[in-house]
Order: sequence, then structure tokens, then C-alpha cells
Amino acid sequence: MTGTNADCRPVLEVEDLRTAIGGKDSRRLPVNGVSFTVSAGETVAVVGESGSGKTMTALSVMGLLPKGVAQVVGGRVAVSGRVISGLSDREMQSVRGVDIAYMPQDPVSSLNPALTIGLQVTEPILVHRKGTRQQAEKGALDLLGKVGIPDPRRAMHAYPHQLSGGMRQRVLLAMCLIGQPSVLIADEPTTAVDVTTQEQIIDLLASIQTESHLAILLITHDLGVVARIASTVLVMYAGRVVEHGSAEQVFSEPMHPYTRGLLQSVDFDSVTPRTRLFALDGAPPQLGDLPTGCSFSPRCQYAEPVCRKTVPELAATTGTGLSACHVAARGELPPWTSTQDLRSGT
Amino acid sequence: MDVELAVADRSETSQTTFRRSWSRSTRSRQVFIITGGLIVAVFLVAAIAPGLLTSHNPNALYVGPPSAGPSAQHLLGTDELGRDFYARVVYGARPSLLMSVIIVAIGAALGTVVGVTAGLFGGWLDEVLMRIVDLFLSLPGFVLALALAAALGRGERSVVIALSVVWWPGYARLFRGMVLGMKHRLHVESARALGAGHFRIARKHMLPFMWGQLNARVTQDLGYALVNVAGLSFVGLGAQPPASEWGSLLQSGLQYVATAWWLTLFPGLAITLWTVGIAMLGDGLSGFIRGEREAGERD
Amino acid sequence: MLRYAFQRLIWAIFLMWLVTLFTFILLHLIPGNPAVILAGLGAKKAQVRALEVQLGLNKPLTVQYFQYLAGLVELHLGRSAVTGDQVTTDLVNYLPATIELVVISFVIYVALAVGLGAWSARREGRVTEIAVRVSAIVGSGMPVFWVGAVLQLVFFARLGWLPQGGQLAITASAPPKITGMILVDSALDGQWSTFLQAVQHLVLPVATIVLAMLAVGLRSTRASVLQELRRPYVRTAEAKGVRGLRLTVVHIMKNALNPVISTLSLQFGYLLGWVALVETVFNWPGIGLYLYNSIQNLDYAPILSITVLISGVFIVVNLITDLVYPLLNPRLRDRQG
Repeated sequence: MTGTNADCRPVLEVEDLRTAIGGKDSRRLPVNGVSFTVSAGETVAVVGESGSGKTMTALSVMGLLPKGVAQVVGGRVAVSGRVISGLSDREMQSVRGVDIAYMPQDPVSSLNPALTIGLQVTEPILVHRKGTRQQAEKGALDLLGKVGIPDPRRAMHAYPHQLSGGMRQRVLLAMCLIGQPSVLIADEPTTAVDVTTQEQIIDLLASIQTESHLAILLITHDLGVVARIASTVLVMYAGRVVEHGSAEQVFSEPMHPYTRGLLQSVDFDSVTPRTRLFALDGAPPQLGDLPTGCSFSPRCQYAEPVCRKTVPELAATTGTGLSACHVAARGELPPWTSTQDLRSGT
Repeated sequence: MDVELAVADRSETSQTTFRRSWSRSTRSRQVFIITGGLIVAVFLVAAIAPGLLTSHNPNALYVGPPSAGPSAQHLLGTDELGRDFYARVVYGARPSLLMSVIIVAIGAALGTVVGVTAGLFGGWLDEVLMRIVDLFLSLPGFVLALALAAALGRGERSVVIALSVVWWPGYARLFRGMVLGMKHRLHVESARALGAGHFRIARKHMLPFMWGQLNARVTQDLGYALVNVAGLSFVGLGAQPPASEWGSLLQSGLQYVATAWWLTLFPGLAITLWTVGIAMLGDGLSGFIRGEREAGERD
Repeated sequence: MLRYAFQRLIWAIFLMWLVTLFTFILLHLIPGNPAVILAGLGAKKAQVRALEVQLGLNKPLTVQYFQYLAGLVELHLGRSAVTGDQVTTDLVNYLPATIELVVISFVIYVALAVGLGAWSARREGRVTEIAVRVSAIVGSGMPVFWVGAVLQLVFFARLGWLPQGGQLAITASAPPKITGMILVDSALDGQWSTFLQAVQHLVLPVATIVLAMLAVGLRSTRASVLQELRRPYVRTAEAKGVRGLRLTVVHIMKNALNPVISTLSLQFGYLLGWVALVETVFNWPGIGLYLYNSIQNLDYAPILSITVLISGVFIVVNLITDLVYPLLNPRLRDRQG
């Protein structure tokens, strides 16, 4: 399993990041005090249902929040020691693609239909003046081959609509890696592709990580992927991190009711071990009307009166990780028995 | 509890729905409707009862010094033959607007017949009719109308015929689109409604939508038609002197650009104001018509 | 792609044929002997007789049509009563001035509409949005000949900055005729003062045309760019570090221009129709003015020929536009096969 190559240099540091929707003073915070670090060669996974704030966190880190709609209102982000959270748009543009890369969710619409693959893949090099056109093209050819595109030469001249979804996902990966970033944010890299391609993409990510000590922030709602490649897991709910620990710990002894709910809802009868997380009763709350106290309390089977009054902070538990739960903090969460260890699957 | 609420809803009459729609519409919509409405109203009065807006006779020669600028007695000055220009412009509303309205009416009527037929029957009839429509739309309308009007001889009749011929294909397309849209929605809605009756569905959903589309198109067209009519009059076709259609007023005023600027400024201003006014009215009204709001109208 | 091009070409030819049919019908609609009409008032009996034979007036209508068609192809367009010359000769004389006006106006118009439209789309703000919306309504309501008259009023009558009309001052002499376009000819001959004068005379007519059309083109471009900006690939590009001009031009415009091109080609059609009006206002010696004079005098031969000519140009331009689409949109290329 990967993620163990991590050396201790944090490449991506996120401290108390806060993002607001609809104005600086708005109380709708899709990212509400998120903190984590990713070291070189480490994969940190952020999991949660849709609307938990995973993608918003990634966009906040990248400075790609839609203008006029959302903005970062607090916290600090640093890449390789350099603080990027206060940078202007212009300054951020010199960071994106070369220091930190973002691989977007939907390969079908994330590529420009009017431009060739070649142009789009070589672009990070050309825009950041990291090489001549020839060097960029050679780099692109090599990378396209590496990510598993058959006949890279022909692909360079092709248009996105001529490639399948799986191929496009790989193109996106090549496009992210060509600038040799130290951090790669992969937003749902396996959602839009079929099972076989999913495996291949995960393997690719893993091997690239081993080779270049790439720090990967993996955003996903697919626990199977997390089990395969992540060393650290963050579970997000309603904009907050509710559990934060090593993958081993989170899977074997989850210390937050929400995490437990997620693990339990995994469909063990499905044919493949890759499964999705859903089917918890109820739905995540709207950001505009968060319940008082713990946001998860309405859906929580362990909820106690204190949970409806005070927001729990991330705190140490009997396990090795952190959990934002009053009950867990007191050590009163019942022991966890799962019927299957996801991590022992392929 | 729910039953009480339902009863309360049904007791609303149509009078209050108007007021509710009005207060719900945005400030800009309200401004548009009021301004546009006022402009259109004034123009309509000028067309229907010009005597209400001026006491002067537009054809009476030398009622004032010729080519005199705007003054208290002659609001828009006088032309080279001493006629009160304000009266000329006001009385010019009738030929100008009448021709435009007739053209749009004929165009819409013809277009409806063709479009609805094509949409309803489908198949080869649809193909053929639409090919014909495409044909007209692929040719330069104004130029062809010009040639046709010239061939038919000078006069309002020629202009109306010529422009109507060019105008109807646009409506054919529009109506065919609406009929097709209706057919589709009818299938979708009746699948859901299960027994609510096609007629009621048509009335509740389709008609507002149709009105919306029509509103947008017709208000725009009434403006464009006038611009085209004026254009044809400008080159000498259309209403003949002494009728003071705005396009021909502009043309005769052109030679006096240096000496009597009001003769060119005001007729054109009238044309522009009508077009803008009716467009504003249409734009504002679109907020009222539920169909358009359903179609995702955003201000 | 080739099949598509072929289809479009056939359609264009078909349209052209229809236009000739249309003018033929018009010819017979006009009261009077078609030969007399085409020969122009004041023509000699022999000329009329010759035309009668050429048109085959004593033969059945269908044969007449083919003879008419043949005449068109051979450019036997009749004689103008006004100028006394063959219509063909007149057209050749008048055409360059119109080409000059149309080309310059349209190029400037496209540059401004696309440029300003894209720029205004990148600028966010309620003010810009309202300004664009209002100007679109007002802009499309102003008849082009009025815009011309007002410009003339302000810049010639009131301010005296620019000339009233014509291509050159009455006292000036035209440069040696190579293309017939004064701007080009004077430049080719090195007559720079004439060139400058020609530019001066071009300003108002060109401005008239550009202003009359600008609102629509600008709004269309802006709407299209705004729509593209919402698409996911824009975020992908920004995530790579692409920004500013490169983002707009290389990434967005290629996609945004697709719907804009059809608007632009529609407007070119309007332009062809309006050029008569603009030339009339500014006494510009082109096809439009020729048409205007012909209408004033009910001189039908030129009217019919000009109709065919302008329609022909319109059809050709549409054909070119149709063929350009797949070039901009790679997806269409494959679909057409």
C-alpha cells in the first residue's frame, strides 16, 4: 500500500481554512476551519457526501473559487513553505500548474473542445515558460505514454471529443503532471470512469507518487479508492472536518458516528469492492440552516443533549486520530465491529 | 391544518393575482412597462386621433415662416413649405404605424397557418414547408422587398405586400417550434397527469408559454417593421406626399441638414422612440406572462 | 466535410436560381413590355426590337425564362434610362465604391463588436450589464439612415469637422483608376493627400454603419462569452495558470465565436440591404446610390440587376460562413463526414 513513502516534509499545509458563500460576513461556510498537511509522497484523502465541502476546500486552496460567489475569509495555505493564501490572482497564476496542480472532476467537460490535446497538455510548460515548444511536446508525448494512452503521437493532434472518458481522465492527469508540481489535488478521479479504468488510474497515481514523491490530496466519496492509496483520511461534514486520522485507524476503528455511518452504508453485496458511500438516513444540512451544536446530531444515533448545544472540536480519542465528537472525546463511543475490512479487498 | 391553507389559496381572485404579479415583478420591469406603455400610448393616440395632439393641419402651407426652427408656436419648427412640422410628424404616425401593424399581422397570420400546419402534420409536409421557409430566410429580405415594392408601383399597398411576403417565414418557424414544443410537453405532462385531460394541460401550461414567445416576437417585430417601412419610404416607395410618413419626411429633410436640422432629427427620433418604447413594453410585460417566467427568465 | 460542402454549394446554387426566377416574375409584374422596360426609356426602336428577340417575348413563358436566364449569365442586363449606359457598365463603375464602404465598415464592425463584447464580458458588474441591455434596445431601434443623418448633422452641419458626402471633394481629382476604389488607388499611386481626403470622407458613412449594427453584435458576443465562462474547461485552464488575454483569445473565443458568427453573417445581410440607404444619405457613388436613383426614376433594369447582384453576394457570403463553421468547431467536422 502506498502512502508509506511519506517523508516528514509537509508540502501542503492548510491551517484553519475558512470560505464563505455570499459575502465576507455570510454565515454560510462550506469550508469551516479545515486544517491538514500533506507531505511529499503522502496521500491524504478527503471524504464525505456531496455538499460536505470537499471540492470547495480544494478550490479554496487553489484560489479558484467563483468570483463574486465565494471567497476565502480566513486561514492559511502554504505550499513548500511558501504562503499562498494571501496572494493576488495574478501571483496565484504563477503557482498553479507548476507548484500545485488541480485535476478536475469531470473529464468530459473539463477539456476545451476546440483545442487539441497536444496544446492543452503542453500548455502548463508554455504558459509558465518552463521550456521550449519542442521540449514541451516531447514531455507531453512521454507523459501521455506514461499515463497509458496508446499512440500518444496521434493523441496529441486529436480533439477531446475523439477520446473516451477514460482516455480523457488520463489526459487530465498528464496535463497536471507535466509542470512537475509538488502537490496534486485529484478531485474525484475515479467517479466518471469505468471500473477497469478506475483501477488503472489508481495504480498510475500510486506509481507516480513512488517515483516523484508527489504529495496527493485525494478528494473522493469512494471509500475503496481511499483504502487502496491513502495514508491519511479526513472526513468532512457540513464544512468541518469531523475525523482525521491514519487510514488504518479510520477503517479499523472509526471514532466518529458519521464515519461509522459511512462505513456501514458501504454496499457489501456489490460485485466490486469499489463502492460508494451513501444511504445514510437523512441528508446533509443546508449551509444556511445548520443545527445548533454538532451539525451531525440530527442524524446521529449516539447524540446526547450536549451535542445539540455545543459544537464539538477535533480532539484526541482512544484511537490514534482526532474526532469532533463529544461522545468520542469522553471515550464512550462503543467499540467498532465491521463485517468486512475494506482494506483487505483488492 | 393543511386543509385550511388550501381553502385560503383558492379564495384568491384574479384581481389580486394582477396586483401580486405587479408587486412581484422587479423595479426595472416596472419602469420598463410604465415608460414603454406611455410611449406606445402616445404614439397610438397620434395614429388614431392625431387631432388630439395638435390643432395644426399638417398639409396647410405657410402657416408659419418656412424652414423656421422649433418655437413656441411651432413645437418642431416648420418645413420648407411653411407647414407645421410637429403636425407633420404626428399625422405621420398613422401611415407609419398602420403599415407596420398590418405587415406584422399578415406575417403572423400567414406564418401561423404555415407553421402550425407543418408542426401538427409533420412528415413530408413539414419538410417541404420548412424548406420553403428556410429559403426565404436565406435571402436578403429588405432587398427583395425593395424590388418587389418597386415592381408593384409606388404606394403603401406595395410596401405592405412586399414586406409581408418577407415577414411571414419568421413566424412560420416560430409557430412550428411552439407546436412541436407543445406536442412534446403534452406527452410529458399527460404521462404525469394521468387523466387530467389534454385540454386543461394545454390551457394551463402551453398557452402561457406561447403568449410569452409571441409577446417577445411581436413587440420586437412591430419595431423592426416600422424601421423597414421607413426604409422603403426613404427610398421613395411607400406612402407618397403629401402623406407625412416618417421615412419619406427624413428623405426630404436630408437636403436641409445644414439649414433645418429639425427636419431630419425628429422623424427619425419618432421611429426610434416607437421601437424602443414597444421593446421596453414587451420586455417588461414578459415578467407578467407566466410562460416566460417558467422558461427561466432572469432579470 | 466534403459532402457537407457539396450540399451547401448545391443549396447556394438553388437559391441563386430562385432569385433569378423571382426577378423574372417581377419583370412580368411590371406593367409594360418587358423589352421596353429593360431597354430603358428613350431607347431606340432597334434596341427594343433586339431585346424582344433576346427575351423571346412571343414564345411561351418557360422558354422566355430560359432566355432571360441566358441573358443574365451573359450579362445582358439592359440599359439604364438614367445613365444611358448598359447596366453592366454602370455596375462596374459603381461597384468599387460600395465594396470599399462595405468591406471597411464590416471589418471595423466585427473588430469592435467582438473585441468590446469580449472585454465587457470579462468585466463583471451590474452597470455594464444594464448599459449593454439598454444600448441593445436603443441601438436596434435606430434606423441606419437616421444615424447617418444625425452624424451628418453633428459633424458636418454643426461642427464642420467632416465633409457632407461623396468620396472626395468636388474640386478634387480622382487618382488613376486601378481598382476603382479611391482609397486603394490613391495609396497605390502615392497620392497621400488624396488618400487622406478619401479617409476623411469615409469616416461618417463607416461610422454610421458601425454604430447602427454595433449594439446587436456586441450583445451577442458578450452573451456568448459569458456563457462560455461558466463552462468547466475554463476552470481547468485557470488551474494550469492560464490567464488574461491568452485565456480569452485562445481558450474562450474559439468556442464563443460559434453562435456569434451566425449573428454576424445575418448582420452582413442587413448591411447589404442598408448600404443603399447609407449611400443615399452621404451621396456615396456606389451601387446603393445607383439603386436609389433608379427607384426615383422607376428605371427598372438596374433595379432588377442590383437585386440579383446583392442577393448573389448574400448567398455567397452565407455559403462561406457555412463552410467556416466546421473549421471553428472540431466536433462538427467529424459529424459531417
